[in-house]
Amino acid sequence: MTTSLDCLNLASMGSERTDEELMLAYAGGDMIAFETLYRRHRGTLYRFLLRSLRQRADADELFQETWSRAVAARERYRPEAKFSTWLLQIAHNLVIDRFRRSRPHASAEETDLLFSRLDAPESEQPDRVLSEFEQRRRLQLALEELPEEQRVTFLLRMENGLGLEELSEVTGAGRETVKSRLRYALARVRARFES
Amino acid sequence: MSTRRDPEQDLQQLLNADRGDLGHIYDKLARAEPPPRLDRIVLGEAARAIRSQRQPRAQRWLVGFGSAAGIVLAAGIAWQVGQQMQRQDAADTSSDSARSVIPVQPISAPADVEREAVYAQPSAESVAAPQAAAPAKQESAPMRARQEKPRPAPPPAPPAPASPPVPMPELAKPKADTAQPAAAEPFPAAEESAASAAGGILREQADMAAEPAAVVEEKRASAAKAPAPSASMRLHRNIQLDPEAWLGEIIRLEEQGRHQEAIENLRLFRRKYPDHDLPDVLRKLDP
Repeated sequence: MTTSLDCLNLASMGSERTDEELMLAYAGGDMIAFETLYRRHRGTLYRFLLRSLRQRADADELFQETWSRAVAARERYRPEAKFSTWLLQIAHNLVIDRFRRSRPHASAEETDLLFSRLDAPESEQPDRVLSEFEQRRRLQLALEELPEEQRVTFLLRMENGLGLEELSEVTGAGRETVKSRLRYALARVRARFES
Repeated sequence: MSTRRDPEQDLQQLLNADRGDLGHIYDKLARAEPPPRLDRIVLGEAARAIRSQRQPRAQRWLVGFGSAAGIVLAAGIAWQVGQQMQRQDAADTSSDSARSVIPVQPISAPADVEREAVYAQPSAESVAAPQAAAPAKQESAPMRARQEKPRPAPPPAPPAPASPPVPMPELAKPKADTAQPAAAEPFPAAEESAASAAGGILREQADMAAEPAAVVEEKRASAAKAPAPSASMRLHRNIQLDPEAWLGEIIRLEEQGRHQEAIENLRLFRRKYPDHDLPDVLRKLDP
């Protein structure tokens, strides 16, 4: 079913304005520009939040809060910053705040254990072809089990397609830290697949 | 043989555009979307933010517009006041001629005598004023007022009539009807008997101009009972005389016992010729 928002989106997509132009237009009072921008980013932002927080209620709350902050900061937005990066930075900060209030980080020992298992001889690893459904289920479980910072970084890569530089910008961590987090996350996911 | 995964290679695969094999699996995960409720909330908030952003601008515009309107209003009031003052000045300057107009009001014509008195008075005034002001016709009203100082202070000129001043031909017409026959008849006896009473007509008419209409009407009614005064007509005529002839006429009036009329003539004479020497017989009359 096509909603009015879809029609609006289709109509405005033809203009092919960049995110940054749309945001500036919205800051100047163009509500249509915001609707286009919202349509472009609502899905990826929501999935990032949902998979990071794992609770729909939390995801809903932070989704709304992220956009609310973007709206409030519209006049401070400068096109030098990529809009998607700026938006995800807001969302990431909210997610990290939520993590800090809810539970402690996963210990480094757990991660080391995972790596040791990955380094096990091939003969010791399960050699099974998993069904597609099973693959998705395991990836889902692996994501849920990832330590928060690793999960967020991994999701920003998988869901939003951010490169190392952008990941570093959004998370506020150094490039090597980002790479390290991605490595650990990969190891944990592999471990879940091969368990 | 062990096929150990190289973490660096695995990472490189992940950083590739297709994000490696995990990317394929990830793309098949359920693609959750925000509920429509959230869409409405977010879009509503964004729209409200824009509206509230516009509102202060409108208020600023209103403030500017209000200030401009205030300035225009003040300027308008100032202009109106200026215009009013100009009109007042014009009314003052034309007050002498206006005086000749004021009595020309709807006349119920209770008697020809009254009409004559009414029309005669402005004639006297118009004679007095232009003659007195003759040397300086272009003088302003204040100057004129200064010149008239020696005279007993007349009541202030009434405000300019709402209707435009009656044109002079209008005045001339009734004059032709009433005053002309009287003027043609040289000093009828009846008029002469009333001359002494008519001497104060000028002052009386000037007072009437400043008095309420009811009082004026009352005075007119009482004046109607008196004989037709034509002293003012004679006064008008005397003003045209040269100084010596006028003085002779005044002496003649005094000798005839028309004391009041003689005084009125002398007063006007002194106003018109302030430096002219008076004969001894008239000095005692000089007020």
